[in-house]
Amino acid sequence: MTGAGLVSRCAAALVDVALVAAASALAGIVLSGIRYTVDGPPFALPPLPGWALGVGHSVLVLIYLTASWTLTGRTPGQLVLGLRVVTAAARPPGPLRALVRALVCVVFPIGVLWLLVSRRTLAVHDVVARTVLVYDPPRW
Amino acid sequence: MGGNGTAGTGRPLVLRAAGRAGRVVAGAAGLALRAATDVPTRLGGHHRTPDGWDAPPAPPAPGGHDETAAVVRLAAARLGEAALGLAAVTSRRALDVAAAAALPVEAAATIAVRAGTAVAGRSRLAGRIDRLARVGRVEQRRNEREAALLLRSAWQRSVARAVAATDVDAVLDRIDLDAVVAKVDLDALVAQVDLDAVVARLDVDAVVGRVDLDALIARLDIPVLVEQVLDDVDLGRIVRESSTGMAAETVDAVRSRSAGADRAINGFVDRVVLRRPPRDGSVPAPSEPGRAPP
Repeated sequence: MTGAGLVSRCAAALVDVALVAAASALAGIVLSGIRYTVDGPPFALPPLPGWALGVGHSVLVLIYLTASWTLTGRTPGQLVLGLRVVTAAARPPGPLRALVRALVCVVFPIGVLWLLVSRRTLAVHDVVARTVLVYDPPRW
Repeated sequence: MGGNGTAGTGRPLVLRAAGRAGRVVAGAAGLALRAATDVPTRLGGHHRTPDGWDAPPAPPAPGGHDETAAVVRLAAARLGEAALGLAAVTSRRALDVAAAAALPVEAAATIAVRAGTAVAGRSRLAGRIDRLARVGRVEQRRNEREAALLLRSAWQRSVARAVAATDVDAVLDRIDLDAVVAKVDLDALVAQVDLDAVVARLDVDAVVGRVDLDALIARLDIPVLVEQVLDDVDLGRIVRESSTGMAAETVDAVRSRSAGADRAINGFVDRVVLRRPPRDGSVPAPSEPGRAPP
């Protein structure tokens, strides 16, 4: 079973990042709006320290990826690009396997480049979680 | 006067006609005579003979100048009636004699006609007679035609005069048209009408040309009509379907392009960087872009 290539994965990741960023920005604006309504001007985003922002987004992405793969076997970005995560049994991954894959994705994202040299086009998180990111069969 | 033989059926037609003419003449003479003599038959009141005719006047009572005059008139009337009776008896006898004489005359005429016919058939006379008969027949036909034409025109003129003189309105007022219409079987009547032929004779363009379309349109409530049409069309559904169709096409295009780029990169790495044979699925079937074989 051969996995999807670099361009498809990056495009799907772009869509997912955009979604998460939009959700995060929306949450920040809503929180700022609430604070502005309660405390009054000036209007400013929540003054979070950099590490808190990074950890928070990492956790957010972890939850996002795990939930997506567990529930539907694909993230919204992978849905748009026609990709899905399957196990060796050609089924969506379980929660544990999805969590492992999401952890490796978040901690070691550069591992996706391994698919260039892998004979089965597998990224590092695919190898660790023993999953494959495959193309959907065409609709026509 | 019944019982005489002048109207008998045993005599030839000519003699019967002659007898009847004689009877008419005698009757007229009798009437004239009665008017002239002024017989006071009414004096006798309602006294009549058993066959319905006035009874002869009673004998006059003797005495007086007036009685003399009455006696003279009655005698004259009696003489006149005696003369009529004589004439009747004479005519009856004459007709009898004529009938007796007519029998051999008729037989002789018949023989003569038959002999003449036979002789004419032998000679050329028959042809001439036939020709003459033809000419006569033709002439007679023409005469009859002209007579018929004359009669018809006269009839038409008289009818036209009668109609012109008739008060048609009054006549129509007296006619119960509803009853007439109720009696007419309109369905049967319409079934006899060739509607196709009628329609074929219609000038539809002329009819349409007489229609005031602007006035017609002015009477239509166009906005309400358009709203109804739009409600029926369900524009929203059409927009949804077309937009989803466009989105699906866009997504398909993005997928196939990215899959092609994947294959290109994989192929480049395998061939140029690693210098090894292409990996599985790097060259999928062209008809199935982006699909990895199992």
